[in-house]
Amino acid sequence: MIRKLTENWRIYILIFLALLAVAIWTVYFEEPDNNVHIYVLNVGQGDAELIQKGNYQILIDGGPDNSIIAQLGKVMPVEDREIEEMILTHPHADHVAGLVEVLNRYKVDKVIYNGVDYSSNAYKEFQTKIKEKNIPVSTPEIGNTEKVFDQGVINYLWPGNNSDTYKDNLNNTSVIFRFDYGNFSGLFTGDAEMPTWQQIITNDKDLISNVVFLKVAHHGSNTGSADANISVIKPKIAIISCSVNNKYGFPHKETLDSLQKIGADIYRTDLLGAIDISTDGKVWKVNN
Amino acid sequence: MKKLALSDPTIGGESNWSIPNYRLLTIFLATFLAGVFTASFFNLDFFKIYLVAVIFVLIIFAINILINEFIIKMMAAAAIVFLAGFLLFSFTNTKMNNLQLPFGQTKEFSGIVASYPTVSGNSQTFFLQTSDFGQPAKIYISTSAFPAFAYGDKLKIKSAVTKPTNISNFDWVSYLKRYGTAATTTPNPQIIIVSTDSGNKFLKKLYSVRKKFEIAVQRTLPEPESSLGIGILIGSKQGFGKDLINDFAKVGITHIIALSGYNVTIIIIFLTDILLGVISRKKIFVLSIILIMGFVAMTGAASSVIRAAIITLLIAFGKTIGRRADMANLILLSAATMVAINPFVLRFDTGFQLSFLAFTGLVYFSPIVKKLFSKKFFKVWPEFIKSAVTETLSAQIFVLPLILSTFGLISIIAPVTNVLILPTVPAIMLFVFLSTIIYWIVPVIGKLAFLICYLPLKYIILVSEYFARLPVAAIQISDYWQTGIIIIYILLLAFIIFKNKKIYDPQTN
Repeated sequence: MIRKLTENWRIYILIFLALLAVAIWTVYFEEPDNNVHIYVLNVGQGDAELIQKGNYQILIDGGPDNSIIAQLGKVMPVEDREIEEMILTHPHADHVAGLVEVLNRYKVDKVIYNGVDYSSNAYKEFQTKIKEKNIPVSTPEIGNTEKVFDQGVINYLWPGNNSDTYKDNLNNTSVIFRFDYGNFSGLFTGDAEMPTWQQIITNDKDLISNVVFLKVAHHGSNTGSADANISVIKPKIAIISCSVNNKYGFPHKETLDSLQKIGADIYRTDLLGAIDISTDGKVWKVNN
Repeated sequence: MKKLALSDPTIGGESNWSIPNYRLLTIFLATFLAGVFTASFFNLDFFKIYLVAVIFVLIIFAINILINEFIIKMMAAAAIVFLAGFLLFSFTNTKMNNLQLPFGQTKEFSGIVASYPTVSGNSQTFFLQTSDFGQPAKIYISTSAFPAFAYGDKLKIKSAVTKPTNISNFDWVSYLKRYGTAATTTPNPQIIIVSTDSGNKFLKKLYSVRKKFEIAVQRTLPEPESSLGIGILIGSKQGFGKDLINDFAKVGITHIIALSGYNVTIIIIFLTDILLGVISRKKIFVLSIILIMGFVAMTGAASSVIRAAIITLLIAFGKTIGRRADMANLILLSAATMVAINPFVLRFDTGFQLSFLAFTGLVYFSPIVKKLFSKKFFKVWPEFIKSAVTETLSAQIFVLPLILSTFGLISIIAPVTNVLILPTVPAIMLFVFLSTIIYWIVPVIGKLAFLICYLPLKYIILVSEYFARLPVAAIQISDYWQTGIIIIYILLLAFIIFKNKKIYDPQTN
């Protein structure tokens, strides 16, 4: 039998190569376009967004459970098992829990988070995993910028070294940043609440004004959005990440009212599932 | 198993009651199983019924001595065997019912994780072996997914110990009893890890291999393809999203991930048939054993997989000696042994039932299906493909009624989707298995190999998503009708087999 198998080794290798060729071609045709995509993923009652261009990904939060993995599977290229940047806005379970499984399954090149102390099983596991895998970690200062892709820029607006002052309410330690790509701009807000917004409006009003896209803070809670900040941000596209019939009653009516008042197009993951905004830096389109 | 030549050609005819020894064994094994099965419908207290049983046995013995007629003697013996089965179940059941634990009280106790923890969504579940309550007891624990526990971890738990109750129409109590448990805790108990080096060393090693296998697939394939690949290979629904589970139920293919172990049987049959012309039967048998051992190791020796392995070995054995074994006895003996070890599997373990139905279908139904395939149209098919198709098909036809009744929905589209999907299943199993091994040796080539697995997995998901969207993919019909359909189905099968009796009789082969 062994002899028979060895006699035929050429055939086995040929079969392997033939199947591989088919696989590679299929995967090739699935390759993403050349646009930047911002996905607000459908992870139930929680938050997860992915900024992707080609094979480069920036993942912001991971939602409350492993459903993030299937969501990433839908939008990432099949053979790409690497996430270049992972940003955790704050340690609450509905943002961090899914990231643990992402760390298990994908090669993550760097992690950005506010580094606050918080004792929860999911957050502890997240920190243990990062340490285990020796992933470089950083906490950016307010005003730090970072170049991504060909012409993308990330501009960190919060919390810098404010985490300690605000740690009584972890939502106010959320990493907030602005993402620019050509004419496109987006604001990623975690669960930031009004005290944070007041600080940012005081210090960096220009940087949050008139953006194209807003990830509405805190799943559309009235603690994260009011006329005071929405009228400054004035997003064209506002996306709310929350689940159907969630126990908190998100999104709150006040939030929706504020957004409607300034004429934003509102998209909700509880109604539409994952939402994809694609842009080439000049124009943008919302798909869902 | 003994090949007893029949001296009397009229055996089985109504006029002659003499029965060969090997057929007697068949009858006794079947009555034993019937005894266990019957007892499983009653929650009887062993210590209240055993006296009745003793009296009953005495009466039977008396009859046996007084009446000297073969058929009566045989029936008396069968009655005793039936009773043995009945009592065995009652005893095991009573032992679990009488478990003395401080139910309802909050206690601090320590124990060892005694199973491979299952993770789904935010939670993990496992069985904890403890002897802090004066007697060894297994307790079902459901807790948050983090930190992840492993087999052999010693834990300190503070929680109320509770008696499980049935959840709407799911028989949760019997399900837990099958795993030897009649106790659970309130959800999310307080848990502290004491140490991680307890438990059986060998099992620990096996579970770590399984973990490595899961990690290999999960790190190379995206979801839901990775969960599907793992699910098909080791029969678990772990990691599946709700939508996909619903889609699978609608298009009637849940069995490809839920049959725990039954898939092993299919792939071995398939491989045996393909290799039959190439290498000798003996070598195929050895190859099957190696493959099965590898498989058992990879899946952490789950009891369902061990069961499938035993059945598969029996089939391989049957094929090696060319069907000369009496398959009825082989089937019944292995079933009876497993039931004797754990009587709850007979009625409360779908995996057990499916494995044996598949086995039975293969033995008794495939000759009939083969007859269909001897028609002119199939003449051009190569022999090995023909037998692979007929054998897997007949196994699947046989398990279908059980699948329908277990998975609730009657999927109208199921015949179409199954035809589209089933041929890829053995291929996927083989590819995932081989890719993992390649990945362990040379990760880079392994990653490419997994890319090949990706295609058929994606294909299954696309097919199920597409057909699930059709408005008439599945209908929910009442249990009443479901039972009716299943009875009709079984009668049909029985009729077909009876009509073709001559074909499968071991003596004519």
